[in-house]
Amino acid sequence: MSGPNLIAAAGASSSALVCFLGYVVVVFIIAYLAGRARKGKSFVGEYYLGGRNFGMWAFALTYAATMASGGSFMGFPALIYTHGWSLAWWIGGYMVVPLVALSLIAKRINQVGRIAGAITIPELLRKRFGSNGVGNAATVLVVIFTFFYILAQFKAGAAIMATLFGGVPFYQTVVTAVERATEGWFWIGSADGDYLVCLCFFALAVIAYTAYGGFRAVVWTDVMQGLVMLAGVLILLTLTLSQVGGLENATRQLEKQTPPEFGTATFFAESGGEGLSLPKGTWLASKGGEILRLKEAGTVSKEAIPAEVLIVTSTEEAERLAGEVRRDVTARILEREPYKYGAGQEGVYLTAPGPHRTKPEGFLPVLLALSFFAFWNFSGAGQPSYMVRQMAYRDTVVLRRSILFVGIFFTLIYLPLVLVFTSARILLPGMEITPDRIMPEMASLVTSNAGVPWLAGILVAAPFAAVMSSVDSFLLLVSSGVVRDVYQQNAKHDVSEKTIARLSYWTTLCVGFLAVLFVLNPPEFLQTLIVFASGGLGACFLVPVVLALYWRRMTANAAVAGMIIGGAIMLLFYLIGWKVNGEFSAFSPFNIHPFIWASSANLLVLVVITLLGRKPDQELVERYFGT
Amino acid sequence: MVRPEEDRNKRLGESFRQSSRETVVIVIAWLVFLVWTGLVCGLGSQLDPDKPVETVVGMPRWAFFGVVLPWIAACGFTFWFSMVFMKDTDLDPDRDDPAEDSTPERP
Repeated sequence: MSGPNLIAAAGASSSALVCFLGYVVVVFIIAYLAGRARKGKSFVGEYYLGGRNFGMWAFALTYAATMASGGSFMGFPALIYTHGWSLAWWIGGYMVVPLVALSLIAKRINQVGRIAGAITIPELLRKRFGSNGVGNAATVLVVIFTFFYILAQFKAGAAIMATLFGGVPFYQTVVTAVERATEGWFWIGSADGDYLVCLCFFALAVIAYTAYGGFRAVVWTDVMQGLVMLAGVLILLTLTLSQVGGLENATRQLEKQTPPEFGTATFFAESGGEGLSLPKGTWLASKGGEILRLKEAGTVSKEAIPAEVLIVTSTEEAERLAGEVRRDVTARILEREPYKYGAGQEGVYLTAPGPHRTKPEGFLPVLLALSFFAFWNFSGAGQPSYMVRQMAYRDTVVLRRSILFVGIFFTLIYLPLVLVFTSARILLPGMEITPDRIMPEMASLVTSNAGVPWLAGILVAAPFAAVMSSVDSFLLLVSSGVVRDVYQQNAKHDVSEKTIARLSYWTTLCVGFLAVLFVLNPPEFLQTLIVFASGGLGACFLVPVVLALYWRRMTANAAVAGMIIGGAIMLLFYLIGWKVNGEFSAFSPFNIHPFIWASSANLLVLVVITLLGRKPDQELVERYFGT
Repeated sequence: MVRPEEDRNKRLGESFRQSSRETVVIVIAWLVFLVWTGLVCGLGSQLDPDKPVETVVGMPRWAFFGVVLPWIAACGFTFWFSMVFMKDTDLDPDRDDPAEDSTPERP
């Protein structure tokens, strides 16, 4: 097994960097071609919906790639690494996501979208009910929750790039300069220099190609990005299993592992070493022989300044790590905090609920697992960005083939990720200090071990592609909300195509830059933020859109009330979670995810208000449902 | 040539009823797979400190029978649903000339 030094070396590999930059260049070329393909056609329909004419490859891959976001390649691997095999159950709902999320409304929404001539989801709801109030409420909710989602994706993109570039001399010079320049600044000053540099690079790239190329560029780049993801995961799986000695061996080694402890320690050097700085990630031994890793930078000093550490508790793991330990410095452990669930238990990484640092009931109690099975499917079906894609395919032959294609795609992505990142605990120990970086670190490690460090560029491009393909879609979603649903709806005169085009470009740019300003101070809890935003969108839109498509009797007032209640309950449960848990997290009464509570309340309110209200206009009903 | 309103509404109504039938099948399938994974994982995934964790093809036994196997079955069901059960539909009932529709009507 190789150590962190080798990982850093691999991360710095210039060939990997060139490979990765080559990928970014291809994305730009595709966006340029997509922009040219739009020339001479109706701007709005093309820019925001690609002319409703996508075939199987474009539709299936844009859908799958948008769904497999930064969460799939950054947050999900981090969770597998931290909580073990219980994540197989957590993600198990994806086995029917193509069926549920793609088939539940795809036919009807495409049909109703065409009848209404709608380009966006708020517009579809507005025309279906003949009510501006529904459209306005939907626009506000789309913009708010989608904006949270974009924030999380920007952070994920910056984190991936930071790992790839780390160690490249020119990059380090820039990072140091940026850190010096921003030191003490309000909002930005507390962020790492490498994060700031990578965030700016990533954001510029995505915002530029999305703003220029519009929906067609997003879809075409999604196709390539989907293929890159698939190839990346399969290569990663092959390399990981061969290096870990097969899955059976990895599972048996994992069975012996016990969860680490977090704590604080001070540091002493045999030969004085006053002022010696210890970088984050350094492996050390305590006086008692325990192995620990710095969770933040530490210093050797007489003042005995404590730093946060991760303490290894598995005997076998400690023996394997002995060669990595820095011997000139000794640590003295001051405090230690065992996991609330799973401490000292062998086999805990192979079973559910899985270990957890703060929750005594473990990571995945049964009811929570069941509610995630519902969450992935129905929150997936309720995402406006996916709904928009379902309005863009050409015909039902494309739809049927795409459902099958996406089913195979998700099988080849999510199951292998579980195998790879449970094995990662053996190949790359101590990553609990920065779990969100496990994917790029693993990519660097296994390619370096295999003697093909350049391949890390492609493997790291997989999560990068996932982030890009999500953030571009969501940028466009917010932009379309502002231009189509706010500006065009409220314009008192006919607006020229040229004005709309200019406004669309500028809105996409402004939304992107606004998001960058927010994440210059990086938000914590990447996966939580993603689940909150996607759950919020699902809680607002799933029930109203499904019922709008299938229930003739439904009324506009009920749609507005349902959406607002869904969004408000989701927000409320996260605010309670923040208050109760001391960090931004879900409050889940009876271990049931807030999305389920919010959607249930949405459904209840919607049905009651509909039944109490007047019947909708018969002409409108016949227009969208026939006889 | 514009289609008569009545004909348009009739075809749209039939297409709506077919979509509704497909939706019911999807919800039933979702429930079946939820129960399968819930039962196998819920009953089989707990840690027993006295016994080593059993494995099948290198995975914990509960994960194989509770996640991997139903996942494969779900792929098979998806194939049947999308290729056999799901029917093609005219997505644009307001189009002037139905012959322009590239979607072939399946029986």
